[in-house]
Amino acid sequence: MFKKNLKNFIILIFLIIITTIYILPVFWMISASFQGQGEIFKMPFSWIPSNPSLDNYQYSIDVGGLAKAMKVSIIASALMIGIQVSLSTITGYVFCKYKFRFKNIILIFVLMTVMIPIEITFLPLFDLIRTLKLTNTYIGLVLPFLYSGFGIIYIMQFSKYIPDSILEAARIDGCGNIKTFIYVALPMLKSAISGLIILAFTFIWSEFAWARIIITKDSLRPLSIVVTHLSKGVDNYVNYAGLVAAGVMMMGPILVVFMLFQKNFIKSVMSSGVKG
Amino acid sequence: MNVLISKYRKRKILNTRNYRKIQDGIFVWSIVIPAMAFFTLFIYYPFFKNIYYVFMDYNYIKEPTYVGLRNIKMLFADTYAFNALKNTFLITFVSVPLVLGVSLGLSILLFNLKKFQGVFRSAIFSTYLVPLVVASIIFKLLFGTESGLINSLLQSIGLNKVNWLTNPALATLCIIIINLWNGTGYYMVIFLAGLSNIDTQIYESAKVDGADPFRIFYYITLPSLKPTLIFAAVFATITYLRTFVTVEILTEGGPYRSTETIIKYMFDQGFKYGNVGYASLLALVVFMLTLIISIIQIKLTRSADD
Repeated sequence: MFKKNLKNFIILIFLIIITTIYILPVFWMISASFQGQGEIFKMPFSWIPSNPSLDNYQYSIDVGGLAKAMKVSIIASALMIGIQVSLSTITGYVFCKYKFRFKNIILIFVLMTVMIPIEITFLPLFDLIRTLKLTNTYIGLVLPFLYSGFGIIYIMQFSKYIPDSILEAARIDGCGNIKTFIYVALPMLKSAISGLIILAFTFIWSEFAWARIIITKDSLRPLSIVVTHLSKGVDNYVNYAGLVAAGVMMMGPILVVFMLFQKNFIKSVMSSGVKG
Repeated sequence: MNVLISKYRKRKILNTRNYRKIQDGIFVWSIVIPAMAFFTLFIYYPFFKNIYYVFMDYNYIKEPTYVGLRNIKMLFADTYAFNALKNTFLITFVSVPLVLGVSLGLSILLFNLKKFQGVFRSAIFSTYLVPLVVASIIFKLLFGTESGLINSLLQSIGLNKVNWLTNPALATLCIIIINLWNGTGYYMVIFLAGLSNIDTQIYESAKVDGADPFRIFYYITLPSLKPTLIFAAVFATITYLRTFVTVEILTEGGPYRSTETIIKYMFDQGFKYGNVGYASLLALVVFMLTLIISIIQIKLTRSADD
């Protein structure tokens, strides 16, 4: 018994050390964002700022344009998540619950899109978006992400658990297809949908490659672009303390949402990996 | 009388059936057609356009002109492209076993923990949620030569500064460390899900039979986790083969192109130097690589199911 307790104690200590190493960089960033340029690399580092100030945040908003970028990122994320999640949900549901002609071929057509790395479509897509005159617009920023092959498969897997008898009962009671979907299927897909929202949010919030191609106007740059821009320096000068604050502002929303919905986050990632 | 009613009923049932069939058809196709249109326009059309561009000289300004196999010949003579592939493979094939090994180890330790499991899990998982852009910036500030936390720590204990990001081998190491730091939370959670699917009775009977922890790990845990491990390995491989953001922020491909990855080289060729035809060829190389990995996954999963 004593030996077992000792073993558990050693494992616990080991886990505490590893976890601390993992979260230390995040804590350093948060703490440093309230300190001056001279203090953030100082040794020993004062984990609790001695004279906390918001100057860095002021800098990243005034010089870096972080507030504007935050607005762009929020609008783009809301637009992309709203459309992608609704479209993927209803499409996944239809693929699971309806029989129709050429279903298998169409399903393969959808499944194969998952095998194509999204970045390789960007070179020709730039041409297409330019022809549609959608560069430097919110629509252009989110257009390639409005459907997700992965999202459709994800919802299909969960739709299996909706009993056909309940759907049939709704139909016999006179509900149309749309009503049946909204009032019967949607409530049963709630946890899958919240999972999809979380996965979509973590993706679009840090999307960088496409935004850099499609947005050239300052006022439409999302956080990922603006923060990267700050890290390269403004007028050949990198304000490290300001950059730290900008980084905190970018990761802040996602970490806050995570703290509020921890269980959902972890569950959605768990179910994204295990097939079935 | 009876015959009449049944005839009437039959017709009514037939009519409602037909009506429902038409209704269902309209619903299904109004959902499926837009999805197909989207994937055609935004995935398949660009994909085939890439193949078309391979035989063209194109820079987004002039009309494309046919150049035959010039781009393909160029690829075989391009040492930068091979260098980019080499860097990408190095980053990928070091990152994948490292990230998966650490994640698997942590997930097994956590899984057997009676208390505080949730706290450790959430803490490590939160590092996965730090956007890659921010993660790259954090590590740029940790590994900076003049202004970097690690160097000032080294100096404070009397050691010399290290050129983390200007030394080719160390810069690659830094990219791998970001992958490890940012990826562990994700794969750990995936493995925890896999572990919780294993029937606990197998463990019990193995313990009763007197198997030691290493045997249990080798003969029970690993085989039961095989499908999860295959998924994780393939997903990680495809993710790291597409390394771009970390490199763009941390080193911009330097020093001496030692961290230039294939996606970074592709974007530079396409958007910086206006060699869209050549960039499209590089895009197809990336596609072929991921395709090979996906096929291996399908083969492996099938053999795991048998």
